[in-house]
Amino acid sequence: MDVRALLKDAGLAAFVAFMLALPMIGFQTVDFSGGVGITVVTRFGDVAISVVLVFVGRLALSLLQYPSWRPPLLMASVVVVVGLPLLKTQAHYPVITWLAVIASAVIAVRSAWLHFDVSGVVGRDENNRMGDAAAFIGRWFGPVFVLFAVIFPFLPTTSRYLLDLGILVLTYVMLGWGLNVVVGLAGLLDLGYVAFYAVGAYSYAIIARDFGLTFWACLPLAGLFAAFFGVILGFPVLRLRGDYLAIVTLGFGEIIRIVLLNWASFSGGPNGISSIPRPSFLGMPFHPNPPEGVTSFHQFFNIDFSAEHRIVFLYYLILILALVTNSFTLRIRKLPIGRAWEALREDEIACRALGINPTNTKLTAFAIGAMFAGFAGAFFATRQGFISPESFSFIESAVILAIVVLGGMGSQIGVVLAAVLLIGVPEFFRELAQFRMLAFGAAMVGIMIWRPRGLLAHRDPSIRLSDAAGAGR
Amino acid sequence: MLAIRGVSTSYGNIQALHGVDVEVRKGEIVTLIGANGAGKTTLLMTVCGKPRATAGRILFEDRDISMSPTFEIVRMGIAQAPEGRRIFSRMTVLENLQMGATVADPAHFGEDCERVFKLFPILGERKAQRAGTLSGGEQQMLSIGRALMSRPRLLLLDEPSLGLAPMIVKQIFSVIRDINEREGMTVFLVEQNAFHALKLAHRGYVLANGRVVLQGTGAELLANREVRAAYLEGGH
Ligand SMILES: Nc1ncnc2c1ncn2[C@@H]1O[C@H](COP(=O)(O)OP(=O)(O)O)[C@@H](O)[C@H]1O
Ligand SMILES: [Mg+2]
Repeated sequence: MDVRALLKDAGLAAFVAFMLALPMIGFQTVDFSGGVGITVVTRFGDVAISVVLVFVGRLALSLLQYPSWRPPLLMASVVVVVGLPLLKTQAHYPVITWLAVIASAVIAVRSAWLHFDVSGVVGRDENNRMGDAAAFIGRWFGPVFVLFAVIFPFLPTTSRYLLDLGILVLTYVMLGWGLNVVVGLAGLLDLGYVAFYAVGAYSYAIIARDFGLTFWACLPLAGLFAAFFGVILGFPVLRLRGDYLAIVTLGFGEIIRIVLLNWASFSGGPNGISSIPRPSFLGMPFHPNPPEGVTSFHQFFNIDFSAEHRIVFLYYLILILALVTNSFTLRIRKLPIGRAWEALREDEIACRALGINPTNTKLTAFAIGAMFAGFAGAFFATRQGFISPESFSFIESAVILAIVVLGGMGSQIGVVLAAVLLIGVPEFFRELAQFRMLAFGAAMVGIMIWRPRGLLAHRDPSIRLSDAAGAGR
Repeated sequence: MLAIRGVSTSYGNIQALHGVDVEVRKGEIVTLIGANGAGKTTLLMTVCGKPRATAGRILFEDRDISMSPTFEIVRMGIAQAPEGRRIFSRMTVLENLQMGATVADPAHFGEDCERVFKLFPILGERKAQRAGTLSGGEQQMLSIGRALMSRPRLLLLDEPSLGLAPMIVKQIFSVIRDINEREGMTVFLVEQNAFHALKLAHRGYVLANGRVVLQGTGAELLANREVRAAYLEGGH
């Protein structure tokens, strides 16, 4: 092993960290106590700590690539033994100690694992092995996840807060699955996906408010409108590729948001639309005192009114919508159109030479992805009861895309894991307060290092050997 | 069956083909040989409609296809195994064949698979393997097999011998002869490997700098002094 190259590499990383930390951590502006104006406080000690952390961290990462388990284990032990007491003195940053311990533990476990797995260290087919694991997870954990999701509202540990969180996560799972059709299967990088979510939400809000249609009547309409917008956007831009498509869709997302913000007579402008009708259960509202002649949910079932009924209902609603999205995607992958999406992502020229019309194929992917966003948007509107352009900013598109990419483009279970990780887990880390984003960032960096192709970058063949005969549809 | 009449093609202001005339009759193997950059691939791609011919006409079974979009041309009965194979590497062998059958009647799928596996038994053994993990020769076989899945009447092959060991080249060429002799498939074969191609073909054309400079039967061209000097000397 080339120790000098490793040290040089870690030194370089530390230097970059120093250049970044000096202005960002080294100087802090604070208010004069009592007086007017601000003064600068220097924190060079903290700068030194971060530089050392980066140096050690980079070294540890490089060591992990080394096909032996001793150096990383040694390194991890040194970090724990020497580093911990040192860091303890920095009592106001307990979280850093915490991160260092976790990182060392990960390194130690990983190196020990390598020890037991030496056979395949050099040139092993990482992809195949991961593929087996992912296929296994997909086959066994899928049903377990669904079962868990179904009984989740009735678990004794499930509070109102957790239920709300579950709804939030499921909404993103659904959006992730929808975007997965566009990005994961068809390979069209769409940075403006939230626009279709917005179209769905506003369609529902306006139709329900102005025409008095029920949620179930509005839902298909919202999906239809969103799909329509997908086609409108797709038609001119689908000739573009990769980066160019990404930029145009990004622009489209912003256009929709800005139009909604400024067209006050239509969308309520920045004030949004409030008192959007809430969904009802087979026509029975969730209301303590329903108007004359209307039976409400609790009256019909002869139970006491509880505000939680509606939450549980919403939870199952989004669960069903998400599962429908999932099974639709799983089915369509086995149909010619779904296969054509995947082929198109790989090689457009070959596809054309096989008689596929690329424009129509991409347009369908775009429209179907948009339709699911529209459904999710309608759900969002009825759940919140209030929508405004603020809910549909670019960051939403970015989060949904991150879920798809992190999950491993095209992997359905991966989307679930990533949504839980990106939406659910940060909620739990609220205690970390200002370090929440730090932990989040560290997690992202870790994933990109160990799973550069996503958590579950595995593709299930759409046709199995046993179906080979007569499965040409 | 395929008549290319005075076709010119340009990339921007670079003209790659200058009034090329080529005729492929039903049941023939016709080869087009030429050095690197002569315009062979360009001619095949022009037949498929991308890029478009800037002059001349392309007739397939007496219909002018020079203005049709690529996917329609394929539906009319022309299939291509493009240069560089262009298989879908993340998909399995079987899925690649399914993609090839896009324009075919689904009822024939099983039967057509069997036909491909009979021509290339190794593909049958590797049905469930990811195509990207096949060897170069197997990938070329898959590319040809995929093209056959659409039940074409005219098969266009662009340098199937590219980068393959002589043994494999022989095998692939004998399969090409097979499908021509047994099934009567019409083949338009583009090659740099002039010796094998001319031995296999009924007729051949020599393309240089975007122009047809010689034509004749395979045997005539093999015997031709200029052809020998330009394309065959040096160990073929
Ligand atoms: N996409 C392209 N854009 C510009 N020029 C091209 C393109 N493809 C091929 N050419 C040019 O056209 C000529 C013929 O290329 P090609 O048909 O690929 O030759 P061959 O297949 O005989 O090796 C070459 O000079 C090449 O540089
Ligand atoms: Mg070529």
